[in-house]
Amino acid sequence: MSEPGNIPVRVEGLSKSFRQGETIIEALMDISMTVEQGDFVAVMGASGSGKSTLLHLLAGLTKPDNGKVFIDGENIFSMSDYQLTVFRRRRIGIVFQAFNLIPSLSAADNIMLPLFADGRGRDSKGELDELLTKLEISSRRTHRPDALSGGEQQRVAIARALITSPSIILADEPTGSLDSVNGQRLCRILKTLCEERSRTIVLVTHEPAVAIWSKRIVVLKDGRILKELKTSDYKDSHALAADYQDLVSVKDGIAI
Amino acid sequence: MSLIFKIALIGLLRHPARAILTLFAVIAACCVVVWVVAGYDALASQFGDMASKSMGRYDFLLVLDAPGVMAVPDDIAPKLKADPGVASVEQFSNLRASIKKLGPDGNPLEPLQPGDPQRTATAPVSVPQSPADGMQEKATKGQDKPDTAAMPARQGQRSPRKGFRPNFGPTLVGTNAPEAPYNLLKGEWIRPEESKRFEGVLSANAAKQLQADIGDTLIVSVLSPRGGANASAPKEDALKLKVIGIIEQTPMLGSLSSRKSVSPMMPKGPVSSALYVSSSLAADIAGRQIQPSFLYIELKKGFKAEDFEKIWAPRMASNAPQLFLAGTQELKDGLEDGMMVRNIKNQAYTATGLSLLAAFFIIFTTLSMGINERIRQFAILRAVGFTRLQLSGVILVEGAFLAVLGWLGGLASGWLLLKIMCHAKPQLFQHGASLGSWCLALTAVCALCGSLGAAIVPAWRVTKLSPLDAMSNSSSTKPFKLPLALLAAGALLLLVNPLVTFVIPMGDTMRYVLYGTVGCSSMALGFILLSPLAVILAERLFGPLLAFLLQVEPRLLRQQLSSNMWRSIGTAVALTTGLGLYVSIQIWGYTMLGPFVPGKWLPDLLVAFNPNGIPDEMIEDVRAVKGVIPSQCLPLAVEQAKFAKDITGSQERSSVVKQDNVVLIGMDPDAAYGGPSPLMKLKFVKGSKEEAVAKIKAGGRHCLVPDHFAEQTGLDIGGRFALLPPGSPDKPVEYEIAGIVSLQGWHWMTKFSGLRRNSGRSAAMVFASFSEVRRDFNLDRISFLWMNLDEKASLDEIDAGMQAIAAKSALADSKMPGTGFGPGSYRPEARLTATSEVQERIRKRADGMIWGMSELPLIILIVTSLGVVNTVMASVRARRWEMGVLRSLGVSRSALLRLIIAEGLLIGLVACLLSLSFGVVAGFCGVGISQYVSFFGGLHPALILPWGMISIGFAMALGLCLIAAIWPAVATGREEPLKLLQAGRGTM
Repeated sequence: MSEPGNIPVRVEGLSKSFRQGETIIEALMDISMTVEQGDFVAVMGASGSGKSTLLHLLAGLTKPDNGKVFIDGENIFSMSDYQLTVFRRRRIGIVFQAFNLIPSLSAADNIMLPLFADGRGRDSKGELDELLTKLEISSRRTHRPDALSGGEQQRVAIARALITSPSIILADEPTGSLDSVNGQRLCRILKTLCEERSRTIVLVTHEPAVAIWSKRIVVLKDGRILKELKTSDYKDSHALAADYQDLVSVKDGIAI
Repeated sequence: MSLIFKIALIGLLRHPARAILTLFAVIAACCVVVWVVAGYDALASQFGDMASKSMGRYDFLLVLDAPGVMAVPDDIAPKLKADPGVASVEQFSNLRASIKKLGPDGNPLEPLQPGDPQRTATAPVSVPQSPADGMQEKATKGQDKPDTAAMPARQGQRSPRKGFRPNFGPTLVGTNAPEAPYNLLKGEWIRPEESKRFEGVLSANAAKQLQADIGDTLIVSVLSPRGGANASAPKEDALKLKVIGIIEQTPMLGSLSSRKSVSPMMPKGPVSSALYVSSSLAADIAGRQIQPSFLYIELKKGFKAEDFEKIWAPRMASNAPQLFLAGTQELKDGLEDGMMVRNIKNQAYTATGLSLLAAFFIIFTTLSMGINERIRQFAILRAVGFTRLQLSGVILVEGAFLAVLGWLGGLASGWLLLKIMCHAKPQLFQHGASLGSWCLALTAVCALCGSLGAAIVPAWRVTKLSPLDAMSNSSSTKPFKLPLALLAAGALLLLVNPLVTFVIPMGDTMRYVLYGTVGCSSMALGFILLSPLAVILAERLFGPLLAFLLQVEPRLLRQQLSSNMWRSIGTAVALTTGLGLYVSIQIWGYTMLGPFVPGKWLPDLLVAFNPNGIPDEMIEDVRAVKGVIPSQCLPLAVEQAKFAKDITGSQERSSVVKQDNVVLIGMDPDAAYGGPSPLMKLKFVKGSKEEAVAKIKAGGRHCLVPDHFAEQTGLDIGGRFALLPPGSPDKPVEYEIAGIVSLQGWHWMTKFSGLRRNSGRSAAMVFASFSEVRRDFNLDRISFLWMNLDEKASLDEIDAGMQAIAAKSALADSKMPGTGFGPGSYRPEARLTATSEVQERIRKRADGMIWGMSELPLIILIVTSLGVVNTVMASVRARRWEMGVLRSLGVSRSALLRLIIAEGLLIGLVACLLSLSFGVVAGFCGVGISQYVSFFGGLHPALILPWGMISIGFAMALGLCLIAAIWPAVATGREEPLKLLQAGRGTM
């Protein structure tokens, strides 16, 4: 968890481009933002808007062309690879869209992976049990991923992200592989984490029905922050969706 | 069809690194074959030329073809001369003598021996039949085989003590040939009609060995009392003669088809290292009338050799004794049948077989990996209408591509390598090096058969795919289930070889044939079928250990190999091809060696007083030599006597336990083995020591025999056998067995110490009463003493002391008993044979020879390690996204690197497990079959696992696996976690 007074996430002037053949694609252009302690931020945008790229940069899974990312006051891109890896292991929890569970390991072992990497596997049985109970997957702890439903797999993934009590949880389209019921269930879990445990969560999604669970929405378009929205301003996801559509449809100030 | 080729090519180019590595491996395998076969090809191309040179200026060579006969009968030459087509019949007599060059200081110089620095190898590699076989008879590394005719000699100035190594020198050849039989390189030929000329002509090999040239004086030892029948012979002990010519001679002569020498000491036909003198001078040296060992026949011009052969070959074959008429073709056949040539040929076949297996498994693994990665692609092809045959055609074409390119590349690289080596090390390729037809054929077998054979199973697998497989999730998380039926079949197949070797009653020849065909192949197949079990065991047993050592999470190693069994098996079995053979050679070699290493029962030192022993009154002088323990110094009465009947079966097949004689050693039984502080501590296998000693002391010709002798003859305690004293063979003496003992290593103690007085081989060493042996065999002097030494005794001091005693015992009458290899010098001397020296020499020689036999398998191991690189790369590729997940969760680069290296090492450990199992079974069966067919069988040694040597092989395999895994590990560790994640996304 972040120390008091530290802003968990601070992004300054972040830029990232990719080469596709001869073409250079500017995925992110000069992004700056902050995420406060206990904040639940959704990053929305159309496909290709740069939202996943932003998340990957926040997680340190790739390096930017320019800019800085501060997690708990530490510039993650000034660290060596080893330092960043350890930092990510201990301070960042990641939930992927495709769950990304290791197929040959049981649910319990998948959850414990970050602790294994840290050499702390033996002492954390209590934490494991607690998470399994909370996420209602205790009875599935010995099952391998292919024996779990989509919802169960994603809850295992969330448990894995939480096992080290990280400062921040990054979720990349976590409901993308789930049906709507499980998707909503997942969002509720994340919301509870945020409210009850002051977890800082940054979630990437293109679904307003998911984004509505957050406190704040950052809308990206073409690699830039288009606007920030407060979910408290919308009565439901439909209203949010309508506003979001209007936002992303405007080009050069002209509605399309 | 062209579409199939296109798809196959695309499949190969999809992973160019893998295709290149596979090609390298096939090329390397072909190179091994080229290297080994080229030596033979080069040698074989010389056979015609060598045969012609061996024949010299003659048309035919007539040699004896009957055991036990030493000379061509006198009536043969006149019969041949009477043939109108014959121009001349010239006689050559091979004799043993000590021949040395007189040095500038007037002292004789020792001839150069095999292994002396000036000697060089003439062929790349040679493989002896067995360690003992090689040590006893054959040179390693293709050195010229010296003639065994000369007696070991220590004339004049005493040379430094060389232990038990015999001195081989040129053969003395007496002849009446008026002209040189071969090309005269220098000087002139002898004049046989002038008997008073003390002159000789050396063959080029002999001149090299003696380091002599024209004008040099040679000293030839005399065998008998001076004068003999020829009053003109000089009075001194040794004859001096001048070298007047040097003739050419072939460096290696064959065995004249399959015929062996009548005596291992006396060559049958022309020798490659000779001193030619007139027949009369040779008779003078021998002290007796000499008879021809072989005849050369020259035909008159115009007379056809075929006609002569048609008439005389059958006549000579039906003569009593049987004679063999050899033309140039027969000599050529003999060269091809020669032991060294056969060894090189066998080695070529072995290299081909191993390389074929290596290529097979590497290509099998590559094709299997390709199928696993392209399951959906193949399933889509099925879905769009490709037939099963077309799909399997794709795989076969891929295999063919690899095969052809590998073969051509192998030939090209092999040829280049040979050219470089011919230039860099010409002494290794004295006969040149070439890619002959046999080389082309064997490399084609290696590459094409190996590759196409390897494609069969993958081609079959691809036909099993259904179009629905295109829609399924390719990642399988189900743990591998051992196919019990295959395991059971494998276990059953493993039983075949031991059953054939040890259990099923049958004739020796049939047993050997079945062993080589059915037994070995079912054993190999059995291990292949059991290899999944080895993979699982290695994962379970070694995985946690490796994880601990490398500090990786053991759960991540749990199914690394078994999750892709085909790939893992293919690679591990490929490694096992070389490593398994290496382990089996080590086990077989050291097990076979076991019975020949002198055991702890032997006393420290055996001293032989040559040529006639010492009188009884000088025994105390020996005991008084500083370093000798007086109470443990015993005189021996020794005779090598033939059996009255063939009780060992030597006439059916001779071996180390099947001979027609024993070395009978008479000793005081109390002092030797019965008393409280005996000279030797014998282990009684049957019978009690006390009873046996009492019987021997009581008289009645009782004896102790070794265990293998009892087994071979079927005699037990109380069994009797009769011996023929050489001096009176018509009066056999019968001995009764009082005890059966273990005499490990007795062979080597008798071989060069002179205990084998009358012939080169013996069935056993037998202990009896000193007085009875002395009486029965008329031994009035002490030729041998066995003794134990003080701990700090100096062998050089003891040697000096013994030489002084030998000099004191010189006699005027130096009549030589026996005609065997035994005591060789003609001035009294002491020959010391220290047990520790024998042990050390045997071990060193055996180590060198077994290592020499292991070179090829280890080369194959290196070649197959390329397959490990492929496997690890494929495994890493298949799990890129998984590694991306691990990196994103906080697994460091170094941890990932260690994980990948652990997988590589696990593959190596599977190979080690398979190789050890294979090595034990193959070595055990190999030792078993040797008992029936090898000359060195019959001693039933206990299985020895030389862990030190085995560990070297294992360390090499693991080292290669480690190296093979490093590059994929480093390359993967360098990648960003996101790239790894995205790489797997396409397959999710």
